Amino acid sequence: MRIYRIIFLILSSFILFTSCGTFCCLNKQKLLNNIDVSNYSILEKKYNSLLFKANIKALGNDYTGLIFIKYFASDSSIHIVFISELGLNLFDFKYKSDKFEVVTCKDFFNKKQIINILQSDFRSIVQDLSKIETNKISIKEVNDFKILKFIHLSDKYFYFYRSNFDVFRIYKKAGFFKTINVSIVKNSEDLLDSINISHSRIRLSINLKLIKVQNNAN
Amino acid sequence: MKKILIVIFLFSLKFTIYSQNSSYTEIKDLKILENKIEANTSKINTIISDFVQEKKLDYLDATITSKGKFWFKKSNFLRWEYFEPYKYLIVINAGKFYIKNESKVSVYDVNTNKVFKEVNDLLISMVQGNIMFDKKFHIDAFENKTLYLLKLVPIDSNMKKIIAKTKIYIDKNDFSVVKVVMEESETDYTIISFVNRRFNENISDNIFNIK
Repeated sequence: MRIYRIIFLILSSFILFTSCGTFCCLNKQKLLNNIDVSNYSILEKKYNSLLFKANIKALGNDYTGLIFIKYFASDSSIHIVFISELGLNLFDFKYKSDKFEVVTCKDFFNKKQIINILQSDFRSIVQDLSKIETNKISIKEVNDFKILKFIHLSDKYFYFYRSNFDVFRIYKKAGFFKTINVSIVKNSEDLLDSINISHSRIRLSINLKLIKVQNNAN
Repeated sequence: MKKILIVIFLFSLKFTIYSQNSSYTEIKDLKILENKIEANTSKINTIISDFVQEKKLDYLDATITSKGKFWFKKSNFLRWEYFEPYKYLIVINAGKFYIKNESKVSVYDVNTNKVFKEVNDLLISMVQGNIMFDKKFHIDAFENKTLYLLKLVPIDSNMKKIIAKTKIYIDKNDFSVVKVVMEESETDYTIISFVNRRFNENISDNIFNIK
């Protein structure tokens, strides 16, 4: 029995070692050259703002409305605002210098646990990759797509993308058991269409369907 | 030169008219206004109106516009329907609050759900214009040549956290609500403008049945 345990341990270590080994560690400059992180944009920063139809299901509650995301080039900040159909501002989170702050938060959402989960979810799609420590980034090539892997603020991120950092899936691992899946769907014209965020262990999901984009030039 | 002078004259005339319309004087005796509103709303049995809702986020330099239509029938039937930016429907019918989002219909009992009771009362009194009889607000009233302006500040501290102030503009001719402004803060507010208002037209009960 003991020998099986040893074989199991050796095999597990081997699998772990080979899976890590296939990720090639890159320096940040090379990464910048390869995928141009400065232009990294799941939300396509060429647009000034995006308006989504939103559905947030959290712990048995179902909220619908609009999510408005606006990028401010002046201070590189991003606002994420959730508005009910009747116009009530349910929350406004500001992402700046790799940190979130609560601008407004009302009703059910105004709880520390909920705020942390929502900010963590939105971090996956708005965070600035240039803030990630160089030695924690690696890239793996799989068939016709690549996986960008890094650890940031104790969480493991996996960005699945095609050429030009066209991200179609984000997988985030927080601790041993918590995982977050983000799927990003584009339409036939290669424009952002929908973003769906789901959790493995929390009854919380966010579904966003793009309604309108506003170009920087407008 | 003559054309320029005409343009300047027309512009200043327009500005003068605007200034006159926008300058309000306070109504000291609210009871007189209450009686006028009560007398007129009692004559109105149905209202049909289009509306434009503008969510203003001045601090983000953004406006989000929604458009829709509502049907109201005395005393507690309302269909409040959004067509833009997407279809969304609220129906109040016989003590039930229905929300239809895409094909999904959610039903809430107004009498057992406090939040929906508040929303129900607010929507009904807002479209009717008799919100000034609601004791949940401190009310100041103003008037200019064409409009009454009611400024409502919630008395309840929990309500204050949601809406700091509501302004209701009422047409002096027909006592209908022309515009509602719900202020969450000075730089975050929602303007609902009612256009193409029609009164006392026959509305089928089917309008308030949701499928």
